[in-house]
Amino acid sequence: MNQDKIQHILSDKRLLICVGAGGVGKTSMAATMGVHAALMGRKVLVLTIDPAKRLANSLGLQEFGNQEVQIDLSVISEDSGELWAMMLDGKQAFHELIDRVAENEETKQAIYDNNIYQSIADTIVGNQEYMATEKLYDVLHSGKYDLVILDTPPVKNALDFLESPGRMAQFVDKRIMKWFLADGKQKTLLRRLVSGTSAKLFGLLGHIFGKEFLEDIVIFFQHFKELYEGFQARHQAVESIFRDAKTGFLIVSSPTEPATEVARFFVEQLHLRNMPLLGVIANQCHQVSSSTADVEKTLLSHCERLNEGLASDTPNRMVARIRSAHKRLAMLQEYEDTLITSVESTLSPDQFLHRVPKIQGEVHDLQALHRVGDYLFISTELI
Amino acid sequence: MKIREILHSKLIFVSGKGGVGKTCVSAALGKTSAQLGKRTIIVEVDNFHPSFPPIFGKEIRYQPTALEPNLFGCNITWMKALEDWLVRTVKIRTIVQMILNNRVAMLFLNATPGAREIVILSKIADLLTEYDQVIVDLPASGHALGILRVPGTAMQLMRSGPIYERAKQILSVFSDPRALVLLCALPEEMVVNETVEFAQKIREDVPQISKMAVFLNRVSVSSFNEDERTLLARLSTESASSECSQNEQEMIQAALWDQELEESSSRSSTRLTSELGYDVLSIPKLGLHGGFKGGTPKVVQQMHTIFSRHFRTES
Repeated sequence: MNQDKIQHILSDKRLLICVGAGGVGKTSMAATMGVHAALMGRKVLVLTIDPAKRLANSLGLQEFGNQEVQIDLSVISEDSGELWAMMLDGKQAFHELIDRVAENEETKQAIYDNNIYQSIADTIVGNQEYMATEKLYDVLHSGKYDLVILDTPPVKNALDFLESPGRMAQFVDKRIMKWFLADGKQKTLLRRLVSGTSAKLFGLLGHIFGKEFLEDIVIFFQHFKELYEGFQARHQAVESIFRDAKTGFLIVSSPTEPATEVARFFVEQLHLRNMPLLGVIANQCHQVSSSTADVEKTLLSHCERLNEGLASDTPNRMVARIRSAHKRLAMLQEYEDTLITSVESTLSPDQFLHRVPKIQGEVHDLQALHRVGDYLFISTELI
Repeated sequence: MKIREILHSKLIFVSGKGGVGKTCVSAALGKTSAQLGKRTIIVEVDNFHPSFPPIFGKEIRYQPTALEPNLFGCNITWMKALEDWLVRTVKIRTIVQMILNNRVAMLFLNATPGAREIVILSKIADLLTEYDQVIVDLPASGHALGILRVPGTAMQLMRSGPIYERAKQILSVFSDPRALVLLCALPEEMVVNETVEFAQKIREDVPQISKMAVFLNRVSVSSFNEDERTLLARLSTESASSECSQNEQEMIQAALWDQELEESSSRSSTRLTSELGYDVLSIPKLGLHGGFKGGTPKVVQQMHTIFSRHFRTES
């Protein structure tokens, strides 16, 4: 049973990473699993690295920052573990990192004042993913949580994340730093330009990027040299966590063409990267039963009985309406099934595919998350 | 904003939350402009998993591919765009090859914050000289914002040199009144929240782009009359009790679903209009969600028909 498997995963794993296309309910799934694992008695952190503010919404919070926020579960249970949530703020995380690793106040200030640092911290794409691995390392090593559930941004950026150490880490790559800093001696840009084997290339880069920028970079690297070892060690640690036996990936998909295409893509990519895929959650599936033809007569009688004070043709119109609405759903379900099967066929026998029905209304509070959880963890008859 | 004004733009950045139909909207707009006689190109940005090819049944690479009369498509990948950019900046082919073959130089270019985005935006600006209209299918909101912010950041960062100059040119392209950001949304509360937030951020961080328009996708038009609503509400109450069989409940639920979609459509449209101050163009539910099969290419075709009709009927 898939539900048993999911139940087991939630009690056994230390890190769960949700990937998938946009709009499939990844964040809600991460939150649902978080709620459930907490109800099972574990201490759970749900971490989202999406720049947009979805998780907060689905947990019924207005907003939360780089701090772990505890979600009050008392509205749905009196006896539970703990549920915490955090939405990554790349800039804030970067500040914190530098505060921690910089040797002294002077280095810290010099980094803060550097032009390059400021733009990386403020605006640069990719920093978010990079900082996420940093934060992930922190929370896993804090020992505060039994389970961390990570919600990733859609497709391309989730891959960036998997390919961590991302661009930022490359930027402080030893080879680049060496090249700029010539074995740690603080050679100036000017000296590099008139001597050394790379002079020609350096000159070209100066031409492309502007001299001031290169000078900023030299200064940036001089300061970052001290941070470098720490960066690298953390990244190796996170890389190995990705392949740890207590880590698992879950692909979340909705039964639509684009989303299932992305799901198949992730099955392939995770396999190539040797990252442990546990299974696929097919979310937002329409589920209807097939035989409803004989129901129309009784529906009409209900309608006629309840039609007091309304136009006399309303019951017939209502029934016609219900019929077509239901027929549409049935057609939709049939089509969705073919899409889901196309994902299922790419899985290995030990990986599960589990359907979660689309629930009416939107999932943006704890009660709704808990309702979704009913389909994820315990076998429930559907409406 | 009227569809006419959108179709007369030169540069359209399409974005919005993941899964709202950005790609379909981009493709359908492209078709519509092309049929109006504009030489149009639809652009994907460094997409590892390109989404236009299945719609048009053609492979689309870095070099523009003809898709239909007047309509072209391309996927601006970073390495190819970089090569173009270097050729344009350094001018001498052998030197460009020297840079591209040097591991450390490539590592540096790959890692330099913002380099990727500037080079890609630069290519988009180039396309403007060859096409009447360039439609860019940007990634989801958060990352789209990252890309659009880069020219401003680069100008602060570089202060001189070719990147600085190029960033300045790109910002002037952004400032053109015929450049616009087209936000796509769905009639769901969370999507509307994110759309409003995204629009505000663009206003703050990329003030050069003065025009924005909103498409609300997968809208259900209000069709229940007063009596039907009342009766459905009574049925719903009844179905919650034990009076109804499970099959009956399921059928009533289907109708309730329809009604809820209609209500959230009108709520979302009202909210987007009042909170953003733009007219919202609604696109009805298409494809299977609207009741027929056909997949993405058919949805794009339908959307294109709707855009064309809007264009003709607008005064």
